[in-house]
Amino acid sequence: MENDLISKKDLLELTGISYGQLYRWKRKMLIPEDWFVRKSTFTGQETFFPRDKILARVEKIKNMKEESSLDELADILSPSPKDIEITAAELNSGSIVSNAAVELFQDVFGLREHFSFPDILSVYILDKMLASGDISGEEGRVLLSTLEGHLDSFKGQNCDMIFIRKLGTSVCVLVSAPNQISFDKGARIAGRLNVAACIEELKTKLLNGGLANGKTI
Amino acid sequence: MNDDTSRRALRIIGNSNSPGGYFTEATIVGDAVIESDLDSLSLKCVGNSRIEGNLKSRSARIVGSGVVGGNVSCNRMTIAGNMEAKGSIKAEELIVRGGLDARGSVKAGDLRTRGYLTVKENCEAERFSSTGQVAVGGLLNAGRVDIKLRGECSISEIGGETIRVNRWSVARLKEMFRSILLSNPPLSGLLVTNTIEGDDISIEHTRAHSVRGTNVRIGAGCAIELVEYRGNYHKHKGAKVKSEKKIG
Repeated sequence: MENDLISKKDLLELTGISYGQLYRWKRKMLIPEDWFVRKSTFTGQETFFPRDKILARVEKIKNMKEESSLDELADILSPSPKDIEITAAELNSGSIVSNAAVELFQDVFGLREHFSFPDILSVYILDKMLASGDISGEEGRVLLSTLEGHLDSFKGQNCDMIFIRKLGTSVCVLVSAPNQISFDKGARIAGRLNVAACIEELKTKLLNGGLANGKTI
Repeated sequence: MNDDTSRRALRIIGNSNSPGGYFTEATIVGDAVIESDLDSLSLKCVGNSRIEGNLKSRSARIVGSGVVGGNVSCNRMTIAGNMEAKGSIKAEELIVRGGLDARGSVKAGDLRTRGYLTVKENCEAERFSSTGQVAVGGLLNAGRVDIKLRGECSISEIGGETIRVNRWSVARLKEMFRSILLSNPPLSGLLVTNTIEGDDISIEHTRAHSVRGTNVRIGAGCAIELVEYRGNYHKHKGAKVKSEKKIG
């Protein structure tokens, strides 16, 4: 999958962190298990990491460590949903998602007073897909019903959302990541999003927007 | 259904089966088979019990023998008898005085063992201390690892902040008497591992492929292929180290 790997030794040297820190972050699940890639080298088994991902993550942890504790950080970075609830008005304020996405969501599921984290996530993913122009509003409904029905079953696990089009028909698929997936020639991938990355972005946005403050259940 | 008020006590004395469910206090004195999940506030098992589903309990004490077919999740768990868990184990405090055979992974805040601990996959704890026999098939990852060797321990990999491995002091005393009085071969007490990585490492009687850390102290009876260190390094004159490198 990733060809560009960095060895554990190089990572420590480059970032200046210690073995202890790396293992502690792993215990706190700040670094996902599947980033630890085992490979045989001439000196025996060695651990490698996907270079770009791990460097970005270490940088993020180092920057955020001053403000938040490791546990809070784990909460932001973990792919399992956080207990957040915000009101429709707050979601509508437009800083997190566009009004069009919220309207479409309410069109499908009815008007809501409060949005739970899975709901916000659905709207967020929808908004991203709509904003990039990858899918149409009608396809957004397909997307929403897929997320609503099946995102739960991936609880705490990393997954990808893939939107496929073939002969004018569109299908929304959720697959656990990392995974290899191939389609026939006629099919086209309209859009692909990593759900864990979306969750991370969304949580950061919610925290930075101050919306989650005091609203955590 | 699962709030505290609707729970009842479960008592099994003699030979019996239970379909499982939510309980306040679960006591098993005889032989029991719990046919699905058991969720209790406290569990005490003196006899033989087999829980076919998952076990969840604030506190659990296994004095007899227990088999859990699924996962275990406890605040405080003490195993004075023998337990086997087919799934993973999660506990704030896990104390092993008898034997624990975990076929999955173990994650604990505090893990103290004086008995036989076998973990097939990874074993994580904030603090890990052992004066018994330990076998870990995966990575032992703990903030503080304190292993007093007694018999042979085998751990595939060790990683953490502070790592201490030395011989159990009573064993050391016994060994002294033995060697003086009986001129017997020294009592065993050995750790076999592939790699040890940490900030502050001090080990004795360890056979390892590589040891990497900031401050490294290689004590008596060690046989290490490769040592890499950044800060201080000290090697006992009785230790064998094939190659050593200062990094950075």
